[in-house]
Amino acid sequence: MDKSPIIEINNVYLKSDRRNQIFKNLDFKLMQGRSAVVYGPPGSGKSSLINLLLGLQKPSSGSVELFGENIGRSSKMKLNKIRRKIGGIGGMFELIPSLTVSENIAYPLVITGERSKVRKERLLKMLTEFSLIKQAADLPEKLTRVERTLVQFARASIANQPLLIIDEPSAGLDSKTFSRLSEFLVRASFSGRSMIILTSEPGTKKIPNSDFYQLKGGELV
Amino acid sequence: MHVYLSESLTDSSAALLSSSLTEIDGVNAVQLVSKEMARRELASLVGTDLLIGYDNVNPLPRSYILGFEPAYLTVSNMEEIESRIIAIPNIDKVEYSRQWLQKAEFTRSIVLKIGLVLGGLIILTTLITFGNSIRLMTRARAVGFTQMRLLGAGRMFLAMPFLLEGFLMGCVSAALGWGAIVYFYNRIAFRQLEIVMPTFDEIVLFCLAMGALGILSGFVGIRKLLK
Repeated sequence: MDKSPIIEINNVYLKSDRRNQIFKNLDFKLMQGRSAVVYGPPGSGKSSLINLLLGLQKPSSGSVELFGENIGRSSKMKLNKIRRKIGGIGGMFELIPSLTVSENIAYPLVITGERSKVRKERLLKMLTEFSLIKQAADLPEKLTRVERTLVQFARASIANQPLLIIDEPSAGLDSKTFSRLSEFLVRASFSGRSMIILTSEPGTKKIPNSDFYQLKGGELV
Repeated sequence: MHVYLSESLTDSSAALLSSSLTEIDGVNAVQLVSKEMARRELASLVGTDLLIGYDNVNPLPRSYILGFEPAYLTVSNMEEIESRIIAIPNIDKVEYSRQWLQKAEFTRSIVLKIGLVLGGLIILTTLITFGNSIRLMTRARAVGFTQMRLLGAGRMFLAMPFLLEGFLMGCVSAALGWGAIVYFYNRIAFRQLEIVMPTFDEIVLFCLAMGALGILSGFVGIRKLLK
Protein backbone atom coordinates (compact mmCIF):
# COMPACT_ATOMS: atom_id res chain seq x y z
CA MET A 1 0.00 0.00 0.00
CA ASP A 2 1.35 3.44 -0.95
CA LYS A 3 1.80 5.72 1.98
CA SER A 4 1.48 9.44 1.42
CA PRO A 5 3.32 12.06 3.43
CA ILE A 6 1.39 13.47 6.39
CA ILE A 7 3.78 16.38 6.82
CA GLU A 8 5.83 17.88 4.04
CA ILE A 9 7.92 20.96 4.71
CA ASN A 10 9.75 22.32 1.67
CA ASN A 11 12.51 24.89 1.73
CA VAL A 12 10.99 26.90 4.58
CA TYR A 13 12.51 30.12 5.79
CA LEU A 14 11.11 31.72 8.93
CA LYS A 15 12.09 34.87 10.74
CA SER A 16 11.10 35.89 14.26
CA ASP A 17 9.43 39.16 15.16
CA ARG A 18 12.88 40.52 15.92
CA ARG A 19 14.00 39.56 12.40
CA ASN A 20 16.17 36.71 13.68
CA GLN A 21 16.37 33.74 11.31
CA ILE A 22 14.64 30.78 12.97
CA PHE A 23 14.57 28.38 10.02
CA LYS A 24 16.53 28.45 6.81
CA ASN A 25 16.00 26.00 4.04
CA LEU A 26 14.06 23.67 6.33
CA ASP A 27 13.04 20.42 4.64
CA PHE A 28 11.15 17.68 6.40
CA LYS A 29 8.89 14.85 5.39
CA LEU A 30 6.89 12.52 7.63
CA MET A 31 5.21 9.58 5.97
CA GLN A 32 1.93 8.12 7.15
CA GLY A 33 2.52 5.64 9.97
CA ARG A 34 6.05 6.90 10.64
CA SER A 35 7.13 9.04 13.57
CA ALA A 36 9.85 11.58 14.18
CA VAL A 37 11.68 12.52 17.35
CA VAL A 38 12.97 16.06 16.98
CA TYR A 39 15.64 17.03 19.46
CA GLY A 40 16.66 20.63 20.01
CA PRO A 41 17.88 22.65 22.97
CA PRO A 42 15.70 25.48 24.27
CA GLY A 43 15.52 28.30 21.72
CA SER A 44 16.32 26.07 18.77
CA GLY A 45 12.87 26.58 17.18
CA LYS A 46 10.79 23.64 18.43
CA SER A 47 7.83 25.87 19.35
CA SER A 48 8.13 27.66 16.00
CA LEU A 49 7.98 24.28 14.27
CA ILE A 50 4.74 23.49 16.12
CA ASN A 51 3.38 26.92 15.21
CA LEU A 52 4.17 26.23 11.55
CA LEU A 53 2.47 22.84 11.69
CA LEU A 54 -0.66 24.28 13.31
CA GLY A 55 -0.82 27.20 10.90
CA LEU A 56 -0.23 29.74 13.67
CA GLN A 57 2.79 31.15 11.88
CA LYS A 58 3.34 31.44 8.16
CA PRO A 59 6.79 30.89 6.67
CA SER A 60 8.63 33.79 5.04
CA SER A 61 9.07 31.48 2.06
CA GLY A 62 8.60 27.80 1.25
CA SER A 63 5.59 25.63 1.96
CA VAL A 64 4.17 23.55 4.80
CA GLU A 65 1.80 20.79 3.76
CA LEU A 66 -0.26 18.70 6.13
CA PHE A 67 -2.39 15.84 4.82
CA GLY A 68 -1.64 17.11 1.31
CA GLU A 69 -2.93 20.66 2.00
CA ASN A 70 -0.69 23.68 1.86
CA ILE A 71 -1.70 25.23 5.16
CA GLY A 72 -0.26 28.62 4.26
CA ARG A 73 -2.84 28.87 1.50
CA SER A 74 -5.72 27.08 3.22
CA SER A 75 -8.90 28.86 4.18
CA LYS A 76 -9.76 29.09 7.87
CA MET A 77 -12.35 26.39 7.42
CA LYS A 78 -9.83 24.00 5.85
CA LEU A 79 -7.28 24.84 8.51
CA ASN A 80 -9.83 23.90 11.18
CA LYS A 81 -10.44 20.59 9.43
CA ILE A 82 -6.69 19.91 9.36
CA ARG A 83 -6.35 20.77 13.05
CA ARG A 84 -9.09 18.27 13.87
CA LYS A 85 -6.78 15.54 12.55
CA ILE A 86 -4.04 16.53 14.99
CA GLY A 87 -3.80 15.47 18.62
CA GLY A 88 -1.62 17.66 20.76
CA ILE A 89 0.15 16.90 24.00
CA GLY A 90 2.46 19.12 26.04
CA GLY A 91 3.21 22.76 26.71
CA MET A 92 1.25 24.47 23.97
CA PHE A 93 -1.75 22.16 24.19
CA GLU A 94 -3.16 23.31 27.51
CA LEU A 95 -6.51 22.09 28.77
CA ILE A 96 -9.59 24.29 28.44
CA PRO A 97 -9.91 25.83 31.93
CA SER A 98 -13.70 26.24 31.90
CA LEU A 99 -14.38 22.60 30.99
CA THR A 100 -14.22 19.55 33.25
CA VAL A 101 -11.83 16.67 32.64
CA SER A 102 -14.56 14.70 30.84
CA GLU A 103 -15.53 17.66 28.68
CA ASN A 104 -11.89 18.35 27.84
CA ILE A 105 -11.27 14.78 26.79
CA ALA A 106 -14.46 14.57 24.73
CA TYR A 107 -13.96 17.98 23.07
CA PRO A 108 -12.38 16.70 19.81
CA LEU A 109 -15.48 14.50 19.33
CA VAL A 110 -17.81 17.42 20.07
CA ILE A 111 -16.13 19.50 17.36
CA THR A 112 -16.46 16.74 14.81
CA GLY A 113 -20.13 16.31 15.71
CA GLU A 114 -19.84 12.72 16.95
CA ARG A 115 -23.03 11.20 18.31
CA SER A 116 -23.57 11.47 22.06
CA LYS A 117 -23.67 7.70 22.56
CA VAL A 118 -20.33 7.19 20.79
CA ARG A 119 -18.84 10.09 22.73
CA LYS A 120 -19.87 8.58 26.05
CA GLU A 121 -18.52 5.15 25.14
CA ARG A 122 -15.15 6.47 24.03
CA LEU A 123 -14.93 8.85 26.96
CA LEU A 124 -15.49 6.03 29.43
CA LYS A 125 -12.79 4.01 27.68
CA MET A 126 -10.31 6.91 27.90
CA LEU A 127 -11.14 7.69 31.53
CA THR A 128 -10.55 4.03 32.40
CA GLU A 129 -7.40 3.67 30.31
CA PHE A 130 -5.76 6.75 31.82
CA SER A 131 -7.13 6.17 35.36
CA LEU A 132 -9.04 9.45 35.41
CA ILE A 133 -12.47 8.22 36.56
CA LYS A 134 -12.19 9.96 39.94
CA GLN A 135 -11.18 13.27 38.34
CA ALA A 136 -13.84 13.15 35.59
CA ALA A 137 -15.91 16.02 37.00
CA ASP A 138 -12.98 18.17 38.14
CA LEU A 139 -11.83 21.35 36.47
CA PRO A 140 -8.19 21.42 35.26
CA GLU A 141 -7.17 23.83 38.06
CA LYS A 142 -7.78 21.03 40.56
CA LEU A 143 -5.48 18.59 38.80
CA THR A 144 -1.82 17.86 39.43
CA ARG A 145 0.72 18.30 36.63
CA VAL A 146 0.77 14.55 36.01
CA GLU A 147 -3.02 14.36 35.87
CA ARG A 148 -3.15 17.24 33.40
CA THR A 149 -0.69 15.43 31.13
CA LEU A 150 -2.80 12.26 31.39
CA VAL A 151 -5.88 14.26 30.35
CA GLN A 152 -3.95 15.64 27.36
CA PHE A 153 -3.01 12.11 26.34
CA ALA A 154 -6.61 10.98 26.69
CA ARG A 155 -7.82 13.95 24.64
CA ALA A 156 -5.25 13.23 21.95
CA SER A 157 -6.41 9.61 21.78
CA ILE A 158 -10.18 9.80 21.94
CA ALA A 159 -10.70 10.78 18.28
CA ASN A 160 -7.85 8.59 17.08
CA GLN A 161 -6.35 11.51 15.16
CA PRO A 162 -3.82 10.35 12.55
CA LEU A 163 -1.13 12.79 13.71
CA LEU A 164 0.10 13.45 17.24
CA ILE A 165 2.30 16.42 18.10
CA ILE A 166 3.98 15.93 21.42
CA ASP A 167 5.83 18.84 22.96
CA GLU A 168 8.32 17.82 25.67
CA PRO A 169 6.66 14.55 26.68
CA SER A 170 8.72 14.04 29.82
CA ALA A 171 8.40 17.57 31.24
CA GLY A 172 7.37 17.50 34.89
CA LEU A 173 6.59 13.79 34.92
CA ASP A 174 7.89 11.21 37.38
CA SER A 175 9.64 8.22 35.90
CA LYS A 176 6.71 5.87 36.58
CA THR A 177 4.20 8.08 34.72
CA PHE A 178 6.65 8.78 31.92
CA SER A 179 7.25 5.08 31.45
CA ARG A 180 3.49 4.49 31.33
CA LEU A 181 2.99 7.24 28.76
CA SER A 182 5.91 5.99 26.71
CA GLU A 183 4.06 2.68 26.45
CA PHE A 184 1.10 4.62 25.15
CA LEU A 185 3.31 6.26 22.50
CA VAL A 186 4.68 2.88 21.46
CA ARG A 187 1.14 1.47 21.18
CA ALA A 188 0.04 4.54 19.17
CA SER A 189 2.97 4.05 16.83
CA PHE A 190 2.15 0.37 16.30
CA SER A 191 -1.48 1.29 15.59
CA GLY A 192 -0.33 3.33 12.58
CA ARG A 193 -0.60 6.84 13.98
CA SER A 194 2.14 9.26 13.06
CA MET A 195 3.85 11.25 15.75
CA ILE A 196 6.20 14.14 15.90
CA ILE A 197 7.84 14.36 19.29
CA LEU A 198 9.73 17.51 20.14
CA THR A 199 12.12 17.23 23.03
CA SER A 200 15.05 19.00 24.61
CA GLU A 201 16.21 15.80 26.30
CA PRO A 202 18.58 13.87 24.07
CA GLY A 203 17.90 10.59 25.85
CA THR A 204 14.21 10.37 24.89
CA LYS A 205 13.11 6.78 24.54
CA LYS A 206 13.15 5.45 21.01
CA ILE A 207 9.75 5.06 19.44
CA PRO A 208 9.14 2.25 16.90
CA ASN A 209 8.91 3.27 13.21
CA SER A 210 10.57 6.56 14.01
CA ASP A 211 13.47 8.66 12.81
CA PHE A 212 15.59 10.93 14.91
CA TYR A 213 16.25 14.54 13.91
CA GLN A 214 18.10 17.42 15.46
CA LEU A 215 17.22 21.09 15.08
CA LYS A 216 20.51 22.79 14.47
CA GLY A 217 21.16 26.24 13.01
CA GLY A 218 17.62 26.53 11.70
CA GLU A 219 17.72 23.19 9.87
CA LEU A 220 16.63 19.65 10.65
CA VAL A 221 19.57 17.30 10.42
CA MET B 1 -68.76 65.41 13.67
CA HIS B 2 -72.12 67.16 13.55
CA VAL B 3 -73.88 67.39 10.18
CA TYR B 4 -76.79 69.88 10.27
CA LEU B 5 -79.67 69.37 7.86
CA SER B 6 -81.66 72.15 6.13
CA GLU B 7 -85.19 72.97 7.35
CA SER B 8 -86.67 72.27 3.90
CA LEU B 9 -85.68 68.60 4.03
CA THR B 10 -88.55 66.28 4.86
CA ASP B 11 -88.14 63.73 7.66
CA SER B 12 -88.30 60.80 5.21
CA SER B 13 -85.57 62.33 3.01
CA ALA B 14 -83.47 63.05 6.11
CA ALA B 15 -83.63 59.38 7.05
CA LEU B 16 -82.43 58.44 3.55
CA LEU B 17 -79.31 60.60 3.97
CA SER B 18 -78.08 58.16 6.58
CA SER B 19 -76.97 55.62 3.94
CA SER B 20 -75.04 58.30 1.99
CA LEU B 21 -73.19 59.27 5.15
CA THR B 22 -72.47 55.66 6.14
CA GLU B 23 -70.78 55.05 2.78
CA ILE B 24 -68.12 57.68 3.46
CA ASP B 25 -64.72 56.07 4.19
CA GLY B 26 -63.88 56.02 7.87
CA VAL B 27 -67.42 56.59 9.16
CA ASN B 28 -68.32 53.85 11.62
CA ALA B 29 -71.38 55.35 13.34
CA VAL B 30 -74.25 57.50 12.16
CA GLN B 31 -76.85 58.78 14.60
CA LEU B 32 -79.81 60.99 13.70
CA VAL B 33 -80.67 63.71 16.20
CA SER B 34 -84.23 64.88 15.62
CA LYS B 35 -85.50 68.34 16.54
CA GLU B 36 -87.11 66.88 19.67
CA MET B 37 -83.95 65.12 20.75
CA ALA B 38 -82.00 68.34 20.18
CA ARG B 39 -84.42 70.25 22.36
CA ARG B 40 -84.17 67.61 25.13
CA GLU B 41 -80.40 67.76 25.00
CA LEU B 42 -80.40 71.55 25.14
CA ALA B 43 -82.83 71.45 28.06
CA SER B 44 -80.55 69.09 29.90
CA LEU B 45 -77.67 71.49 29.32
CA VAL B 46 -79.26 74.90 30.03
CA GLY B 47 -82.38 73.96 32.01
CA THR B 48 -86.04 74.20 31.02
CA ASP B 49 -86.49 77.83 32.22
CA LEU B 50 -84.71 79.29 29.22
CA LEU B 51 -86.94 77.33 26.86
CA ILE B 52 -90.21 78.78 28.14
CA GLY B 53 -92.13 80.21 25.21
CA TYR B 54 -90.70 77.72 22.79
CA ASP B 55 -93.20 74.98 23.53
CA ASN B 56 -94.76 75.11 20.08
CA VAL B 57 -91.76 76.41 18.16
CA ASN B 58 -88.50 74.49 17.84
CA PRO B 59 -85.76 76.41 15.99
CA LEU B 60 -83.18 73.73 16.55
CA PRO B 61 -82.10 71.93 13.35
CA ARG B 62 -82.04 68.22 12.77
CA SER B 63 -78.55 66.76 12.59
CA TYR B 64 -76.49 63.64 12.23
CA ILE B 65 -73.66 62.77 14.60
CA LEU B 66 -70.93 60.85 12.81
CA GLY B 67 -68.43 58.57 14.50
CA PHE B 68 -65.07 57.71 12.91
CA GLU B 69 -62.54 54.93 13.02
CA PRO B 70 -59.51 56.08 15.09
CA ALA B 71 -57.15 55.83 12.10
CA TYR B 72 -59.22 58.47 10.26
CA LEU B 73 -59.06 61.02 13.03
CA THR B 74 -56.62 63.43 11.42
CA VAL B 75 -57.13 67.04 10.37
CA SER B 76 -56.52 66.30 6.69
CA ASN B 77 -59.01 63.39 6.69
CA MET B 78 -61.63 65.44 8.47
CA GLU B 79 -61.21 68.32 5.99
CA GLU B 80 -61.68 65.93 3.10
CA ILE B 81 -64.76 64.33 4.69
CA GLU B 82 -66.19 67.75 5.50
CA SER B 83 -65.88 68.87 1.87
CA ARG B 84 -67.58 65.69 0.67
CA ILE B 85 -70.47 66.05 3.11
CA ILE B 86 -71.06 69.74 2.43
CA ALA B 87 -71.39 68.88 -1.26
CA ILE B 88 -74.43 66.71 -0.50
CA PRO B 89 -77.70 68.64 -1.16
CA ASN B 90 -79.75 69.84 1.84
CA ILE B 91 -76.76 69.86 4.21
CA ASP B 92 -76.55 73.24 5.92
CA LYS B 93 -73.43 73.03 8.00
CA VAL B 94 -70.73 70.63 9.17
CA GLU B 95 -69.02 71.11 12.52
CA TYR B 96 -66.27 69.25 14.28
CA SER B 97 -63.64 70.07 16.91
CA ARG B 98 -60.95 71.08 14.47
CA GLN B 99 -58.77 72.85 17.04
CA TRP B 100 -58.95 69.97 19.48
CA LEU B 101 -58.07 67.57 16.69
CA GLN B 102 -55.07 69.70 15.70
CA LYS B 103 -53.83 69.77 19.27
CA ALA B 104 -54.33 66.02 19.66
CA GLU B 105 -52.50 65.39 16.42
CA PHE B 106 -49.62 67.62 17.49
CA THR B 107 -49.41 65.95 20.91
CA ARG B 108 -49.53 62.53 19.29
CA SER B 109 -46.64 63.37 16.95
CA ILE B 110 -44.56 64.76 19.87
CA VAL B 111 -45.23 61.63 21.96
CA LEU B 112 -44.34 59.47 18.95
CA LYS B 113 -41.05 61.33 18.40
CA ILE B 114 -40.12 61.13 22.10
CA GLY B 115 -41.03 57.44 22.03
CA LEU B 116 -38.84 56.85 19.00
CA VAL B 117 -35.87 58.66 20.57
CA LEU B 118 -36.34 56.80 23.87
CA GLY B 119 -36.74 53.51 22.01
CA GLY B 120 -33.56 54.20 20.05
CA LEU B 121 -31.67 55.02 23.25
CA ILE B 122 -32.95 51.87 24.97
CA ILE B 123 -31.94 49.74 21.99
CA LEU B 124 -28.49 51.34 21.91
CA THR B 125 -28.05 50.86 25.66
CA THR B 126 -29.17 47.25 25.40
CA LEU B 127 -26.77 46.65 22.53
CA ILE B 128 -23.83 48.15 24.45
CA THR B 129 -24.68 46.46 27.77
CA PHE B 130 -25.23 42.98 26.30
CA GLY B 131 -22.24 43.39 23.98
CA ASN B 132 -19.96 44.39 26.86
CA SER B 133 -21.11 41.62 29.17
CA ILE B 134 -20.53 39.07 26.40
CA ARG B 135 -17.12 40.62 25.62
CA LEU B 136 -16.15 40.27 29.30
CA MET B 137 -17.18 36.64 29.20
CA THR B 138 -15.08 35.99 26.10
CA ARG B 139 -12.07 37.65 27.72
CA ALA B 140 -12.45 35.51 30.81
CA ARG B 141 -12.40 32.44 28.59
CA ALA B 142 -9.63 33.61 26.24
CA VAL B 143 -7.21 30.78 27.14
CA GLY B 144 -9.92 28.25 26.47
CA PHE B 145 -10.66 29.76 23.06
CA THR B 146 -7.04 29.45 21.98
CA GLN B 147 -7.10 25.76 22.88
CA MET B 148 -10.45 25.22 21.21
CA ARG B 149 -9.12 26.76 18.00
CA LEU B 150 -5.99 24.59 18.16
CA LEU B 151 -8.27 21.58 18.38
CA GLY B 152 -10.04 22.72 15.22
CA ALA B 153 -13.12 24.48 16.53
CA GLY B 154 -14.52 26.81 13.86
CA ARG B 155 -15.55 30.39 14.40
CA MET B 156 -19.28 29.68 14.34
CA PHE B 157 -18.80 26.73 16.70
CA LEU B 158 -17.14 29.09 19.20
CA ALA B 159 -19.55 31.93 18.60
CA MET B 160 -22.79 29.94 18.85
CA PRO B 161 -22.99 29.76 22.69
CA PHE B 162 -22.51 33.52 22.92
CA LEU B 163 -25.09 34.24 20.25
CA LEU B 164 -27.54 31.97 22.06
CA GLU B 165 -26.66 33.68 25.33
CA GLY B 166 -27.41 37.05 23.74
CA PHE B 167 -30.71 35.71 22.37
CA LEU B 168 -31.75 34.39 25.79
CA MET B 169 -30.69 37.58 27.56
CA GLY B 170 -32.77 39.63 25.14
CA CYS B 171 -35.84 37.37 25.26
CA VAL B 172 -35.84 36.80 29.01
CA SER B 173 -35.28 40.46 29.92
CA ALA B 174 -38.06 41.55 27.54
CA ALA B 175 -40.40 38.87 28.91
CA LEU B 176 -39.63 39.89 32.51
CA GLY B 177 -40.22 43.53 31.62
CA TRP B 178 -43.60 42.76 30.07
CA GLY B 179 -44.42 40.48 33.01
CA ALA B 180 -43.87 43.40 35.39
CA ILE B 181 -45.92 45.78 33.22
CA VAL B 182 -48.84 43.35 32.94
CA TYR B 183 -48.69 42.64 36.71
CA PHE B 184 -48.82 46.32 37.66
CA TYR B 185 -51.42 47.06 34.97
CA ASN B 186 -53.72 44.52 36.57
CA ARG B 187 -53.01 45.74 40.13
CA ILE B 188 -53.29 49.50 39.63
CA ALA B 189 -56.49 51.19 38.42
CA PHE B 190 -55.83 53.98 35.93
CA ARG B 191 -58.72 56.46 35.97
CA GLN B 192 -57.18 59.47 34.30
CA LEU B 193 -55.72 57.81 31.27
CA GLU B 194 -56.44 54.81 29.19
CA ILE B 195 -53.48 52.52 28.61
CA VAL B 196 -53.70 50.44 25.46
CA MET B 197 -52.05 47.09 26.14
CA PRO B 198 -50.60 45.13 23.20
CA THR B 199 -51.96 41.70 22.40
CA PHE B 200 -50.16 38.53 23.54
CA ASP B 201 -48.89 37.94 19.99
CA GLU B 202 -47.45 41.43 19.85
CA ILE B 203 -45.66 40.89 23.18
CA VAL B 204 -44.21 37.58 21.91
CA LEU B 205 -43.07 39.33 18.75
CA PHE B 206 -41.46 42.07 20.83
CA CYS B 207 -39.62 39.48 22.97
CA LEU B 208 -38.36 37.75 19.81
CA ALA B 209 -37.22 41.09 18.40
CA MET B 210 -35.32 41.70 21.63
CA GLY B 211 -33.84 38.22 21.23
CA ALA B 212 -32.64 39.20 17.76
CA LEU B 213 -31.15 42.33 19.29
CA GLY B 214 -29.42 40.06 21.83
CA ILE B 215 -27.92 38.01 18.97
CA LEU B 216 -26.65 41.24 17.42
CA SER B 217 -25.15 42.24 20.79
CA GLY B 218 -23.55 38.80 21.05
CA PHE B 219 -22.03 39.30 17.64
CA VAL B 220 -20.72 42.73 18.68
CA GLY B 221 -19.26 41.17 21.84
CA ILE B 222 -17.39 38.40 20.07
CA ARG B 223 -16.42 40.10 16.83
CA LYS B 224 -12.77 40.30 17.93
CA LEU B 225 -12.82 36.61 18.72
CA LEU B 226 -14.12 35.85 15.25
CA LYS B 227 -11.27 37.67 13.49
